[in-house]
Amino acid sequence: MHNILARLNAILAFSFTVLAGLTFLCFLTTVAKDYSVDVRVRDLTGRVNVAYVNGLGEVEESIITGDLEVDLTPLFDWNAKELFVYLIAEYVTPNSPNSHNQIVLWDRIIKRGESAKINQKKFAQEYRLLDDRKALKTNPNVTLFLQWNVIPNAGALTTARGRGSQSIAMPDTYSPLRPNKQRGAG
Amino acid sequence: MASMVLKLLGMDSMLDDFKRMNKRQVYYQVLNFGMIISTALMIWKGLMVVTNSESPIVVVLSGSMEPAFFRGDLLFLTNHEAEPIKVGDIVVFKIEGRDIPIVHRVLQLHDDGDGNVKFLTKGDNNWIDDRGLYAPGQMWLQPKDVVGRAKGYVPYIGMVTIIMNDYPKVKYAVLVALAGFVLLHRES
Repeated sequence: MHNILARLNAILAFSFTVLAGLTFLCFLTTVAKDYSVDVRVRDLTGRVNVAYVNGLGEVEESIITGDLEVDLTPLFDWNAKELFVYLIAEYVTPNSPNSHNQIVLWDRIIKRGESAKINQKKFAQEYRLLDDRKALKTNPNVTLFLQWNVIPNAGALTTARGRGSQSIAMPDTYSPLRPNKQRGAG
Repeated sequence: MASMVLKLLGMDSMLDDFKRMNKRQVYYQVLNFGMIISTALMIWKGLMVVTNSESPIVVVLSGSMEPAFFRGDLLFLTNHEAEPIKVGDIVVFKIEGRDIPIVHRVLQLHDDGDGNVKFLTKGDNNWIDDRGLYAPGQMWLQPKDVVGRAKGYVPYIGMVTIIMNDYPKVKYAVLVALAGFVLLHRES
């Protein structure tokens, strides 16, 4: 019973048990943590126009901009590897009260060790805000809020929403979104 | 020489163990082996029931979600219907005509309130959304395409299955070694 195989087996089994135990403790220490912080979304302005998208046909598109300020530094504990931060525009399709639409306008990956402060004046949309039909013009309530997904070293993938959101009423007329520029396909 | 190595590794006594067994004990060892396999299967089936997902654990196979998930990382999925899909969720979905499920993030979602939900996905590490990956002409995914939503994460462990799939010989060697150990080794 004291041969090489038995010893190797004992060493491997013990180190895997220790590693698994530590990983589980890592998960336990952060599983109940509240990852929400205050966010400021301000001074929103928006424009609407019609856009033609292959496969969707003629739909409404918006461009929304504004200021965004948040400090996510406190979220980085020992079990946070990366934050995936994204800005969502949420609205209800008029005349169907149970509907909801959510579109990501902007996202950012913040890895451990990088600056976790975001201060964007007149943020630039990264993804097109395209409705699947035409629910944007005169829409009284498009709400922008920030959300983030905490990716751990090992453990639960948690999503938290920033405290603080801002709504905007969309204009009732179409106006050009990208002047003097050819619009690309979706 | 060979017998020395075997002796050093303790293999000689292992075979002696086996030779000393009578028929009943051999059958008992085979049943023991079957028990271990069925326990593993039952745990998998149990997880399927608890998570409501047809595949509660998946291995990340591509780098399209880097730097969050790398090739070989392990994801735990749930797929409870009471919990609706939201923008930002990491979903594992299947595309018609493709065998391998894809792990990407929901970028855009439209729910008309009458049970029709459609959404668009994108990999964190990709420049554009996934419409080019979907079936020809498919613009949206629906909840029926979803295998599960990523709720837990453990790095590296899935590398074992990737290596076994890439080098089938390793897989058979490991299986034979495990089976041999369980069959020949007697708990004292």
